[in-house]
Amino acid sequence: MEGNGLRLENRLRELKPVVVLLVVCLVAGGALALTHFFLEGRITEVEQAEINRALSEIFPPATSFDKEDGYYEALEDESVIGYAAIAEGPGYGATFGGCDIKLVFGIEPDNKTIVGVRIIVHSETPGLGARITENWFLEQFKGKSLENLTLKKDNVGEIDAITDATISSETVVEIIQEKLEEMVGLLPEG
Amino acid sequence: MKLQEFTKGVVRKNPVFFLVLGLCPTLAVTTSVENALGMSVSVAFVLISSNLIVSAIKGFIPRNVRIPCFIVVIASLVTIVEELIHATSLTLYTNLGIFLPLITVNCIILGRVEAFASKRSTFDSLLDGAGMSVGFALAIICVAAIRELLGAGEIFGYAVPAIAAAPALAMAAPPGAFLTIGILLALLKRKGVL
Repeated sequence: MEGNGLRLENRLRELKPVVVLLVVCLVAGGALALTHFFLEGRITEVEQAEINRALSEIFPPATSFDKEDGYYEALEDESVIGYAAIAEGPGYGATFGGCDIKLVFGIEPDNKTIVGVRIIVHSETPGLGARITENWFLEQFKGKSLENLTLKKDNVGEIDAITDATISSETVVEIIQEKLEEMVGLLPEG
Repeated sequence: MKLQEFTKGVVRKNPVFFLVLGLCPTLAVTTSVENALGMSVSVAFVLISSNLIVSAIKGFIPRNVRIPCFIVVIASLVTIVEELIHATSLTLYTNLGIFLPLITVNCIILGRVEAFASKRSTFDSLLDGAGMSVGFALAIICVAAIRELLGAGEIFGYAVPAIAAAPALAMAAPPGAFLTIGILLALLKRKGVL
């Protein structure tokens, strides 16, 4: 009987690190869930404000934007002057726990070519991947359509990647491509 | 003298210049004073809170799982800071980029938690964390001010006409950070401050 009790005590002592680590993780998880619960709405608000600003930068003459299913409609006094959509996907930063790259792009209503791209949020490396927000890079997308929206590799392709930031550059091109394809299918006149 | 626990981190045992820890953010985000300030505040929050939490729970943590426990505490605090910044300033959030989640592996934090907070009282740990945070902030703001001035010809975003015309671009690139830290370190050693 006594031997059993001693063995049980040893067992419990061995289990202590496991239990402590488990409790620490549970408390930390709870704290994170709470933080997320309280800040989620605020984050969406901040991003929406940035999206609205980007939309009016892409379509300066637009007087209002209608949110449709999966895309935005840019209107200048009731007539459609373009469409816009939000594209997002994991860049380089996401590999290390950062957030996805999220951007807005606008297209012309007739030939569906890109009129502008604005980055909303990203967590790429400052000085390298973070240069996806620079004008010279984003300007390259202007006038591109689904057919010629490709990253330049071995002199084939239309868009120059950022030096030392191929993954970030690739992500931007790919997420726009994907979303553009999806969006063209959704648009009213097909 | 308790106050020593605070002051030692500011100059004599400055985490960047004396301990030469946490160079990754020091090199990376010191391209502008604004980024350096954002990084300082984030690191201060994580460093002080993890010092406080660890010194408070140190009695319950078995020695063999202490490091995983500390990491869970630090990583959770970093995630909280990250969400807070995301919810307040998108500009700062994207400027700090990947270095924000990487505060988790900033060795100043795990270093202070393991070397100090896991052995000392909560109050001492608070002073130590605050002192080290001030020291880190001073160091990276100095480096950032020099780099922003020489590399971009600006200070706090305002152009300095004489330099803005022809800034030394190398100072804005990573080698500029090494040069600045090296020269500051040499000067501080020479003056016998460290």
